[in-house]
Amino acid sequence: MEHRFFSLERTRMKWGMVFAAPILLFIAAFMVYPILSVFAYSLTSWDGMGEIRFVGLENFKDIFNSSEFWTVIRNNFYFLLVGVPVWTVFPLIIAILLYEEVKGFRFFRTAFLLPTVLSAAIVGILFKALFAYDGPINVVLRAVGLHAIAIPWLGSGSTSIPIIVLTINWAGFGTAVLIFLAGMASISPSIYESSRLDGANWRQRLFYITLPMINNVTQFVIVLNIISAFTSLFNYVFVMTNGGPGYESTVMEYMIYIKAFRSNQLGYACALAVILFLIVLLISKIQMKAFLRPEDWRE
Amino acid sequence: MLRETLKKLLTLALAVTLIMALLAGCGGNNAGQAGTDGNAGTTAKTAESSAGSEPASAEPVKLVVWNTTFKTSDDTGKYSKDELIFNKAVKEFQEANSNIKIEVVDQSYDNIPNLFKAAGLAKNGPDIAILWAGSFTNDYKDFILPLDKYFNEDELSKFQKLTMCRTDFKDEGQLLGIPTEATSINIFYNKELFRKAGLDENAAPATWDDFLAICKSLKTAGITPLMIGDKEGWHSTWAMCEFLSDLYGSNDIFKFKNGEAKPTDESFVKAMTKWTEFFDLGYTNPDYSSLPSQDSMSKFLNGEGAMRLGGSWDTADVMGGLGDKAGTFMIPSFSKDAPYPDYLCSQFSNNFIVTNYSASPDAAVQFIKYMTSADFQAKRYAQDGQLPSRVDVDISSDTNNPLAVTSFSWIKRDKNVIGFDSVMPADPCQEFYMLAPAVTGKKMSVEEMAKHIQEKLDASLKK
Repeated sequence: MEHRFFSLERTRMKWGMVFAAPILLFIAAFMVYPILSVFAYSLTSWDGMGEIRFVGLENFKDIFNSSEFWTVIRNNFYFLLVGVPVWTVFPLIIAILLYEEVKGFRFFRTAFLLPTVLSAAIVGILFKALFAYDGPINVVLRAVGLHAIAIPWLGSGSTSIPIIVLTINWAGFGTAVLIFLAGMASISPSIYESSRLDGANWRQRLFYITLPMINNVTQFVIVLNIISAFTSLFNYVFVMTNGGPGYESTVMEYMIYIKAFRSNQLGYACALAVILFLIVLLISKIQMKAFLRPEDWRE
Repeated sequence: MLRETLKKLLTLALAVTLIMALLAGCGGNNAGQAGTDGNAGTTAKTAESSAGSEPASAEPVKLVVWNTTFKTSDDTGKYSKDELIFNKAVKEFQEANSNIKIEVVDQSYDNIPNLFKAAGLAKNGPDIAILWAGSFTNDYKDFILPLDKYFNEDELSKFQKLTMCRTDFKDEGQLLGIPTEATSINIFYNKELFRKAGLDENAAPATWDDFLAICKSLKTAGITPLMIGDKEGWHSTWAMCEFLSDLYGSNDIFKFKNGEAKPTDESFVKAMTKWTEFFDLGYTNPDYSSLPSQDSMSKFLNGEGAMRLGGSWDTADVMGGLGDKAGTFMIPSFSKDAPYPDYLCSQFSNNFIVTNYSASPDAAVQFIKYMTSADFQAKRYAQDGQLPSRVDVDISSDTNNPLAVTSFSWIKRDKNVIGFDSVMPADPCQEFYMLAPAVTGKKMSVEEMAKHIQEKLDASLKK
């Protein structure tokens, strides 16, 4: 009996493998192989054309010894520390207001989603024009007598990075608001009704019902934002600052692009990509651990 | 039971079909797909597949051309597509050679490095490409067909000195490309704003101090002297190319290729320091480090600055924008002690190359000869002001574009020096483009920048 059971399982497994083979092959060819290639090329001094020379960990040594790498990493962490709270808290506030059905909430729900359909390049150009030295922001500042702060906003990393954070916030606002709203919509109205009967006010409902019950959604948005802080900045940096002046607004993705396609150092660029991969992996792991609730630990 | 088995067999067949389709998709060239893949703009035939079978003149040949420099459409609306000189010449060439069909694929300068590299590795790129001349073309020499045997001495003598188009910049090196145009570095100025500042609108500054005196007068008159858009680091690069021309001359500039001349050398640091000091004087627009080069041109043409750095490639735009108010002069030598004070940074900007995997190199060379002929270059100059790379095209009598005529007269003095960024490897040049705006913006010292570029140069040479 037991033998027949295992035989049936094996047959099922065999057929399962056959049916899953096409997609597994596809994933192997277009995801696993490229990723493994990047790891392999990171140990070479390949320029993308000629001989592929194995150099061991030399690329990594060069990267960690170069000052620009630490500037770039610092910039990425700047985006992480400033960007992630901004990209999470602002949409959350707006989602709460929309959920509470403030006046005109239907219009705002559509309006907030509108920037999402614009390409990052267009949004970047728009904000670049807005914050140009003679752009509308500075025109207004000068008009109200604030000449001293009508500066070239994109001419320094200390001002251009916050502007890029704002730009990304504007562009991705709608998506995050929608995610939060979807989370809030899943809360049973009966919970609110009973809380009202118990005399809970708006603030208590928000902090004791809404926010705890969308904890998973908030986590999800934070994870997305953390990943964005490392992997979705290229378009904005490319369009708005070119990573400059110097490396003041250069981020890892842009650095990888420069090294691979402008400096012909594909091996070096792959090593940077491996480092980026490990950083994102590590931060995501830490974040997941930090947000894990006691019941999840037990599981 | 039978139904069950049939279902399984059908699903299995479907799975096998999918795998086969996937493998076919991943495979190389489709055997049934001869000629050109029009969408990708690549030739499907490879040199191997057609080795020794060069098509006879009567056989149809399709050439794919990757174009980076010629206008194939005009956003200004001045010319229709058919009127543009490159499109016209392609059409004429095809009419004269009925067996050759040309497919032009426009590529941006940003895209061409990786596309050309990828296409070269797969040997399914274009037959002809227009690449930056100098170190860029040299970097891709593994994919380029040497052209020496296709051109006789008489044909080559019609071009300006071709050292830059040869391997490793050596006169005896293989000929990698045929130049499409010559360029110079210029300062363009607005004569009307000069007059407003009480300056002689026709007096070009002979020395750097004269230039600073002009800037001072303009600033006193409330005019921004020099409009700079150095977001990409190009304006600083052009200025440095000119300064280094004065210091190194035509031959020694090539020492930057093999590290004999160093960015940390006193002369390099001195030149960059001089350029940086210019920014301390407040003679530029405040947003110089974040303004794109193209935007600085718009502002200059709108009269927001009296002068702008640029090159001969801009003459048609400047003439179109300022007309009779436009003037030009060379960047004056930054130092009285410079050994080559009247030398000019001038070079070919692009060259036609034939790929070494092209199935029809003879036809490709035929096309290149047509597109670099004296007749074509004269017509191109007349349309968009690009200076000829040939010596047998005379533009001196042209009255429509005095800026181009002046620039060409400088080049003809034969005191030309190639830009240092066309000689050095890509990585240190990239470092210069990145760091220059930081240095002029006082966020980094010149010495620090020189050290960084030197490190990149050393690493590139080591590799």
